[in-house]
Amino acid sequence: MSQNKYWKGIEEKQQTEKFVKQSAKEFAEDLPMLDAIAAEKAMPSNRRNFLKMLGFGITSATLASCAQPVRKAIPYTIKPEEITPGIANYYASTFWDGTEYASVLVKTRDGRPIKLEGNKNSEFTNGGTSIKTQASILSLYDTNRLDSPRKIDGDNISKETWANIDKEITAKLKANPSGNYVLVSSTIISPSTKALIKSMQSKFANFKHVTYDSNSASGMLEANKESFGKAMIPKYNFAKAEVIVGLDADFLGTWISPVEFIAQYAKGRKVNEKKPKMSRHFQVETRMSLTGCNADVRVPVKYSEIGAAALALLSKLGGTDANVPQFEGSEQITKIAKELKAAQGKALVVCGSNDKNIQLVVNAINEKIGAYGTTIDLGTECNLRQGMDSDFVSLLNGGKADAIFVHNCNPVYDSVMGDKFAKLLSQSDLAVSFNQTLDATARACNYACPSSHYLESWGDAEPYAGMISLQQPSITTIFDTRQFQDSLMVWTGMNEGMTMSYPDPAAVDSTTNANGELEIAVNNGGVELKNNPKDYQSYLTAFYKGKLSGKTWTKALHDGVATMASVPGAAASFTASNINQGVVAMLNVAQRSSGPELELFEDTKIGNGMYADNPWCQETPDPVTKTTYGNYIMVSPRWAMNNKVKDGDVLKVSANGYSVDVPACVQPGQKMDTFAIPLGYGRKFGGRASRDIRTSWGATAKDMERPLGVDVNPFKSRLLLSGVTVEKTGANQNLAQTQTHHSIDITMPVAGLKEGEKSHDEKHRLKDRTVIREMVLDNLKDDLHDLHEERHFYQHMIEDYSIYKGFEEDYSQGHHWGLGIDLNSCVGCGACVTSCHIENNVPVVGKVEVERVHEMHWLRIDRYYSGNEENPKVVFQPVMCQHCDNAPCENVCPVSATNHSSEGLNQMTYNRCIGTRYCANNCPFKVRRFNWYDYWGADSFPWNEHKGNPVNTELGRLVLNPDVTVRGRGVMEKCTMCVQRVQLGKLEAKKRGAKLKDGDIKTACQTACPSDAIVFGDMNDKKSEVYKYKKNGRNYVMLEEINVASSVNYLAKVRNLKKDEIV
Amino acid sequence: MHYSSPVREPLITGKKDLHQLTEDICRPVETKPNLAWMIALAISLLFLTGGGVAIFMTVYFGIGEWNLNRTIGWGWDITNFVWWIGIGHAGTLISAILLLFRQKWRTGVNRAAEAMTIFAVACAGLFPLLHAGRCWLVFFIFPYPNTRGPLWTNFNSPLMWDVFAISTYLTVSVLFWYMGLLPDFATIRDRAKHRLRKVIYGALSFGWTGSAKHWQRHESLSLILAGLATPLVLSVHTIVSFDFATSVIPGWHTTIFPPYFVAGAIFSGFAMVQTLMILTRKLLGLEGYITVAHVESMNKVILLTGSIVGIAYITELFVAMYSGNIYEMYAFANRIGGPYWWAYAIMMSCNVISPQFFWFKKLRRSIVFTFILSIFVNIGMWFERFVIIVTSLHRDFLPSSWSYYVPSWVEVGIYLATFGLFFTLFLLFTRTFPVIALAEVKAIFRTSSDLHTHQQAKLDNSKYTYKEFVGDTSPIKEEEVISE
Repeated sequence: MSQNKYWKGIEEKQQTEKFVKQSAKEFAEDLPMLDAIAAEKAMPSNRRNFLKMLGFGITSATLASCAQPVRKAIPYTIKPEEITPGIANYYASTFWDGTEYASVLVKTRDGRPIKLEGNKNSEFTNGGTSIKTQASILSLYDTNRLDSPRKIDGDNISKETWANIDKEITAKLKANPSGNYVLVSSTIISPSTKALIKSMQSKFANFKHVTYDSNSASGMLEANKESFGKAMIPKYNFAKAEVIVGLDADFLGTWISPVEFIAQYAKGRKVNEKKPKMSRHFQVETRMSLTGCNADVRVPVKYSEIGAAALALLSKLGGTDANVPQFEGSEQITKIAKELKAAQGKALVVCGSNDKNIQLVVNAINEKIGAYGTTIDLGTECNLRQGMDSDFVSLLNGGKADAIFVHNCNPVYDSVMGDKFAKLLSQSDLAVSFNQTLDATARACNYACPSSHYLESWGDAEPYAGMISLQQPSITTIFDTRQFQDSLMVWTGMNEGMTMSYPDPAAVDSTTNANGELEIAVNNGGVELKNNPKDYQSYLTAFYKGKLSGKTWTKALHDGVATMASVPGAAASFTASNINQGVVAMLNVAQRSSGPELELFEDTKIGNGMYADNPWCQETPDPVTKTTYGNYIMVSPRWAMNNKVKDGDVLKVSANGYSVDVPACVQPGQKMDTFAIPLGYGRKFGGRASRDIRTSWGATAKDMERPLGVDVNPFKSRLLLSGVTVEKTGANQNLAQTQTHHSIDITMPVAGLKEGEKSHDEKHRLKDRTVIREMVLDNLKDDLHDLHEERHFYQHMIEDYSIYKGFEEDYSQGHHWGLGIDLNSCVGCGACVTSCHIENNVPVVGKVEVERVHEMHWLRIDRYYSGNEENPKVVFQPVMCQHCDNAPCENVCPVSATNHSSEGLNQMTYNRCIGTRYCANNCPFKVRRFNWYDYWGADSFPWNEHKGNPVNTELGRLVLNPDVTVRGRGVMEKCTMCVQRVQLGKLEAKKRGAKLKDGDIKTACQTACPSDAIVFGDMNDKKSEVYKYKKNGRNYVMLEEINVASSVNYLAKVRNLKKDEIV
Repeated sequence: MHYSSPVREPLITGKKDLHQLTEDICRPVETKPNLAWMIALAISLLFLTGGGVAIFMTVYFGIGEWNLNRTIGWGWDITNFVWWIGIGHAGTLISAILLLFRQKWRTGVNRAAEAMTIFAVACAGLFPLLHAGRCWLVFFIFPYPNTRGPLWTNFNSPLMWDVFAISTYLTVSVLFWYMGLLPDFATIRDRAKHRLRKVIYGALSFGWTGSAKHWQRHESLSLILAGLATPLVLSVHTIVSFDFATSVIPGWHTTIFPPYFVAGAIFSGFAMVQTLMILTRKLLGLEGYITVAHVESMNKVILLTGSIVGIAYITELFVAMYSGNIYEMYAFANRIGGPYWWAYAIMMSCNVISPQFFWFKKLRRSIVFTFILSIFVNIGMWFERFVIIVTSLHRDFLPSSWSYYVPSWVEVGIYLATFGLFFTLFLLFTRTFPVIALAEVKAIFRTSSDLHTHQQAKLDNSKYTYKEFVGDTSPIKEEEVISE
């Protein structure tokens, strides 16, 4: 070590006299206190001096003991032009996980993506998102993702470098160019990736691509091949349909493209009081699905009767003269058929069955009702489901492959033939997984070559033919991962010289386009593309050169969406000759059974298990059952009563030689003798969020071995129509539900009461609660009149009884923020809940805490049932802080930690809060949330930290929104109406020098909503949407009679029922 | 101040003279504690330290250690708080209101009752502190000029009013108690043989000499403090009831609460006094000073206040039914028939039915029965608070948020800790302070009156002869004259 003597300045070097004198002193400058002391030193010591010195001494001793921590911040040496610390940047990108698509804007702050917003430019989703889309950003910061490639040999899993892996795999592939190679992937909707795969096929003669969809539409594809001559899914338009019939198709939940369908569906159900008209929705289904919850008329039938129902419908429409068997609900089918007929050309029937025969019947029905060319566009091909079950089966039966590549799917776990696939993987010489985690499939491979998260990757998507959406990375790879296209290119040597037509580099023009924008991407791509596309990014840019209509690459990348210049025509037409007697006979006989039936379905948040590691997905309650963390078996209330089963009673379910113990969830609306279990649970390998961690104080290794829920894939089929037994075990297990069965009571009908008569039985009084308002389209005028009269009465009562007349707070000046929520548009999907969770740094609490009713959601969707338990009516109501202008929470806080802003917002001052919880008690809406523990690790006391929160890791915390305070333990929190967005909007308007316009500020729940059910705005602005909501005839506020003066305006739900259908 | 009534029972029984009185009352302070006391203290300390673990868990890890939830923000914490505050009502009532009403029988029990008040308020005070999510910041609740913003309190909040009400009550109670103790401390000081005792009790007695001026000031101060404390007895629980009455929650939002709470507080306070006094008189051998007559008088108060509470319960039900307000109706229907029906049943039977037994003189004068019944009332009154707090909260306006609550061991532990604290303090009190107000008792002691022959007949039903009752009339010793 060198012993250089460092000097600070010339003075020190030269040891000037002044310096020597100065350096002996602790402080460079003379302290005024010292002077004072010196002045008084002359005097004899007295009491005053003593006290003075004592005070100074204690103060300085105290100050000296407060050590300033050393903080290291590394600023940019050269600040990138587009990054300003504290200002968010938005980049357009694309979400596609293999089943669901959305065009999104990625909000990044200081280089980290923190939030996704729907892309309003997309005509496909129109800015809507889903729970999965919203939550997918957290998977980016998932510590369970592989941080580098792995080499796997049984239980021996070792870290590898890409260089080594590339060497080994390339060598193996080169050695046998005509080998039998297979790429198994979920549906790929990226045209460039498909082109890439195609060019691989030209390189390797026996290269096969098998599409495996865990939630396949294979029955439909096969039927459409017969009906339209092409195995494709057409484009549906629910907005155009006046009568919608869903045959076991959960099109608002999981079927094909729910986000898009919700938007269309909601459009068809916006009611105008003057000319009341809305679509009428019939749902024929077994399990209570999200779609069924929204139906005007729901017909519960058994799973085995769906085919018969379709056939009955066709028969009533005159499409077949087959003898249709009777089933419970047949008479309803007649009615549906009549209405379908009447709505010729404006009707749509969709079916979620994976049975080709049923789909053939449905195609025939759609022909009969004139759906083709009107509500179904056969000319536009939908790419969202391409997997044919038969392809996968023939792969499994086709014997040994030389190499298998698995991309974005986990068939070993989620296929009903998972064990066979695992065997195939083990037999092949080379098995490579591109999956991001070490899941069951990756563990069955030789190499795990983790692909990057989609927010770290380049890509494109073509959900419908010609409709392009681009994907760009918004962060460099966090781990040592590589997107799978790059891996393929490296291993096949494509990056060393490709046989593909590139644009002439000379044609890739210069630096700026017409808008004066720099065309960096094209330039880079163009220059390097010449002979040698280095990577997939360059490949992608080259691929789109000249293909996009009316947009440059940069512009397309900026917008996120574009259209193809030329779209190959998919014009197909319906051929009617396919409903033969064989099909009819099959539907009549084979599908009918009498015993218990079991369906294994994918829910809207965990899917096939892909999102089981995502804490936000886990913590968002299922829209229908309101259950978080873990699966359950849905049983009908009648069955539960007969068998004395309550929520949480563990049932033993056996079929096909396999059995599981799973807790019961008594689900109103579930058809008697049918059962349903959500998929995606019981995974052997998974991250913290998918583990059943019972201790509050951190997970042990043993906890990590215990998966949440049960694996039901080994039942070998998604639909079991016979041989199912369900029996009680006597055990009990908590369901982590955020809302319990109590809500069934809310409008319990009373037998034997005449119309208009009210029950005097206390139990039934609930129905008068002024929380939910429902109307019936056929009776809208009277219902509106009743509502107005009631509101009038309350308003007068409030005025008469007020003891503060003339002293009420006035918010008529300036802004008065408010929300409007159309209960008729809200389908209850829950995207807003997740969006709010992300935007506002709402903590994840984990299963045990949800069981203890400690969930922290600022926004929840209340679900109420009414009517018959076996087939109830359902209503969803998003509830957040109502920002009452007479807030009961505010006056009870002893320290004024919650108070009212001049703009009508109820605000929380976290720093002031001492946590008496009085405000939460006094909140009639129960929207206030208390930090029982330090869920985020926000406190300075590490022991407070609640280890149950799976996001609470160094990496996980990167997703936090810096604009929103992270709350420590012991403080109350609640919806702020996204006050950070309100402030930003106001500042932007101020910078613009213009008045704030309606729509400038949008809350997180509002932007996430696919059905535009939520609007935010200034209630003082006569032109604002929220003002229009307030003036709407259906408008009401919750609990108006207690005079809290809520700022959230609800529009009553309207059901499209005929007068004779009103219960 | 000599008290003699031809129709009332004597307030001090047994063969006593003034010296004997001093000896009896000072004995626990001047002798070594017996085994029973030691065991009792050990158990109390065990509860205190055991419960201390629960307190530690709450402060260290957070309120999440309790089973409160999104819907039910207060449970055992505030139930216990209101319960202890209620118990703390009897002491001041006995010492202040009964003083103003010249109820001489109060002198036998007022000292211990006042001590009980102070200890109960101390236990109660623990809960608002511990229930706060950030208990280390609870000082935010005090309105004083500060540099945090400035952080000022919200005078609209009933919790704020609580702070004033309870601290004032505690202050006045302590003053009143201590003022009464002065002459008694002086007695102990004068009797002390050990120098240390002399110094300590000398300091505690503030140099009391027993001069006429001292006595005159003492009497005046008693009256002034009694006058101050009397409205406080009514105000404290009135204000505690505002915690609920000013809210919007059905079951809380009730104008009947102030009188209802005050009656309930006196009811539970007297029940606790009974529980403690019956034990104390037995353990310390003070049967002659806390007599059946005392017990009976207090039982009459219990009967009265218990009946008021009963009427309040029924009024509440009627009002809910009559209101036509569905939320109010549901709240009460749910209390009776909802998931917490058992709590309501316990409350009704313990508070409304059980005190009615005191209409029977025989039961009223039975020590054993009174003891058992006082326990019932204590339980019943605890459940009253539980019913009001938890059953109102668990199902309010929006059925989507309804929930259920059972306490965690931590919450139960804290409750047990307050028992430990209370009994530790009380046991220490019995060994360091005169449990009975010596000076005041002497004031009602007959030393020189005539033979009350007509009263003699009344005494026939007691086992004492006149001679035994009056005791031997030996000359009064000097020191007693002084301290009287």
